[in-house]
Amino acid sequence: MSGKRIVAGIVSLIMFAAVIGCSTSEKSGNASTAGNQDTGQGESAATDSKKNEQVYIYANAGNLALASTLSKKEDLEMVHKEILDRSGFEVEANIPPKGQEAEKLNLLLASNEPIDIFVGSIGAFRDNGAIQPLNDLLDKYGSHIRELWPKEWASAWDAVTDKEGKIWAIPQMPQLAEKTIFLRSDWLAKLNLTMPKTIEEYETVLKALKEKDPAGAGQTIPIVTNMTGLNLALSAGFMDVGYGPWMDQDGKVKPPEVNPGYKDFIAKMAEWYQKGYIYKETFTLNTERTRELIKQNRVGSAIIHYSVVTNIQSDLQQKTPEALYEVAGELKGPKGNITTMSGLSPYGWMLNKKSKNPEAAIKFIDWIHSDIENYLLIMYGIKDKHWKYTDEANHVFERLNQDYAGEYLTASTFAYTVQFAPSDPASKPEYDFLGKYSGDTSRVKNPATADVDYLYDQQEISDKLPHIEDINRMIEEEVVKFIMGARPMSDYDKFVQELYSAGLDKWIEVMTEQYNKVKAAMK
Amino acid sequence: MRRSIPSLIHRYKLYYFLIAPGIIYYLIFHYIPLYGVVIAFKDVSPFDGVKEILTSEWVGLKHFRNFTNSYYFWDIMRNTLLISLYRLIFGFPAPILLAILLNEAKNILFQRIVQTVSYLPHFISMVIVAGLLTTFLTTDGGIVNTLLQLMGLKQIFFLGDANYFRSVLVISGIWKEVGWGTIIYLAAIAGIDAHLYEAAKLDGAGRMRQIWHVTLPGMSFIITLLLILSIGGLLDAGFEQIFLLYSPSVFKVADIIDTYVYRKGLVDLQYSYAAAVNLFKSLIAVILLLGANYLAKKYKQEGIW
Repeated sequence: MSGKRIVAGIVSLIMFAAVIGCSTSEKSGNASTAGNQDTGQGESAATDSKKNEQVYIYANAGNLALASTLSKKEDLEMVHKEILDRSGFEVEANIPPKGQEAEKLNLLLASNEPIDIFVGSIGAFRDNGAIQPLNDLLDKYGSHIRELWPKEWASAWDAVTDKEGKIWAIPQMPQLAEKTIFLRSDWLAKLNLTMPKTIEEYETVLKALKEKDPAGAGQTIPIVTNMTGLNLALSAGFMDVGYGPWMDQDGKVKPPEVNPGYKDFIAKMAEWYQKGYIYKETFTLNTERTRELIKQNRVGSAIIHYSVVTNIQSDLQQKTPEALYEVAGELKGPKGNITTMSGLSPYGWMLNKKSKNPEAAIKFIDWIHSDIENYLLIMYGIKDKHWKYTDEANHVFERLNQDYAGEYLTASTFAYTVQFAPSDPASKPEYDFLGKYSGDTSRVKNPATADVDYLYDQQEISDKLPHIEDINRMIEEEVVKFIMGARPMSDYDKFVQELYSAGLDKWIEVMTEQYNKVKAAMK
Repeated sequence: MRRSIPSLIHRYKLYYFLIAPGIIYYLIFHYIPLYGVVIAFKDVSPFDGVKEILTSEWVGLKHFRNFTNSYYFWDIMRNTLLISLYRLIFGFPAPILLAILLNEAKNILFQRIVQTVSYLPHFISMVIVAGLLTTFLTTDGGIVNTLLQLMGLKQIFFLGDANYFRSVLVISGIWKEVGWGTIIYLAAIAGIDAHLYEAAKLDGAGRMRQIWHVTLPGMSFIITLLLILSIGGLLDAGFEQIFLLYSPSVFKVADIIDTYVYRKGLVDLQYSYAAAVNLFKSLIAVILLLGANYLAKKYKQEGIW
């Protein structure tokens, strides 16, 4: 009997210990991941604050979404220490899950996690009170930030400034055309074809890719793309304006989907899909999978965000050295230029309203914008360890390895992008594209309202159009169906009617009102 | 003689002590946060913190009205109900059938192997299942389409075709959970008195009759219980699976309340609106649960309370 009691006693002790053990290990598990910042704030803020200031960044600059791996642990440590030594800032990076960057950010902000700096479109963050105006901070600590941004791109500051003159973000990019059509020029040569200049020539190329199958074994995919790629890199060729809201003859602002030219464009795409030129599953591909197809030496042409192609080309070339993607720069549609230049967007680097130390955050950004080598440090790692100059005067360098992936990159800015040039095969194509094509205004069209729509009153729009998402969703869903042949093109006018019954009338009314208001205020 | 509550607690204090962690857990994590439901009737900005929940403006049923007036309201409701109904009609009897079949298999080794193999998929996370499905069903060399092609049939883009998407959801859901579901039924079957089978045999009942008159009635209590519970969860049409597999071309047949709430809340930052939609869903679930329980009692079965 007593033996049983002893056993029972021991068992219960062990269970008790296990419960305690589990709960503490859970606690420490949290601390090393998301809760990290809490302990950091408590202890190190108290001990280190005399020397080093803490800055929490949310690593959604976009570089990590395209990186094939994250940094090696030692290299990450090294860069962290180097930043600390050179700037005096203790930077903590919160790494978002790929493809869910926006959702994670919303959750972190709503749950009061310490995040100081993040990038995005200011609209919803400002309207929901998640960010703070930067005017005073910029005046006090941001002289380098203002100096770095070139005068000719000044409109980018306007886009992040509201009517009262409050600046809500630090601009990241000027107007750029980032979606484009790439073609495998080595395959064109193999098939005795030249870079197409008209849609008909492009179709000949697609037909040849499909029938002559340069990849072999039926593996050639003439086109991979997605809806954004098609809209911004091609649809303008069928319309008088760039893809975006346009001004109809009746003086009203309407969505591009009711533009007659857009219907022709969709009809053409449906034809290509039906002929097997467009990859069958292209509209369900994520970036990762698209890059996989490109890497597997299967894709003849890609109508997509530039970096999906440029940043994977060197991987492709490891197995297929002759493989080369080139931009179909002279390709034109029946109505001229095919590329849409993005409008001025209220996009940039913002400071969390609840940031514990916004001064430190802005000082850190100022430090980054004060010297290009600081920028190269957070983006590419330590000089002569992760990269080395091949031409120091022009900031041409090659990356020595990919051991540091750029977790600490924040306040990324196109103002720097144009000042340096990586010469290694992994990074060169991207910078070539940015330098040669992204800002070239001679080959693009602008959306009709691009010069005013960043000044629209978003709060008023969402109050007056509570169901605006229904319309967006209907467009997203139905247009894809027309291309995939799930709905016949003869149904397109019916689709437009459906848009009206989902509230397009009201949409047109509100957008036209906003447009006229801003135009009037500008005068 | 009835004792007062304090003296009862004193007398059984050890039992109360044992149950306390469970009660405290439910209070802290399931009941106290319930007050947050009020944001469905207010305009709360997600970044303002807990205090805002109490102080923000009361807007009454505005968000509910917006939801029911939405162009896609009926699509979403139809999808949610249809997908769950398919799951119930095809998915609910599947483990019962498998359990009876397993029970009839007299080779113990075979029985064990089938049981183990069939409940392994339960332990695979939905993300992996989605990955497997995408790979199996792709038109670009996926095994299913290759087989179709070998048989001289047309390839089908299962995950992008509105005609097939729901079937893919339901069938893969059954595949994943059927084995796990049998465990509880097998336990119920094991509890049936062996004498009943002997008596049935003496009366001349064959295998089918034994199943019909002994096995099934022996399981009927647990079947009713699980049916009521699954009707309560009828509006949970399987967020994870759909979220991982859907794309614009199948929104029409795949968008359910949960995916809608996800997009409204986490992507569009309309927390109040998303809360209202989800509260709406919970209300319907409660009504369904009460209804099912009432019916079960009416037809002389045990209810859950």
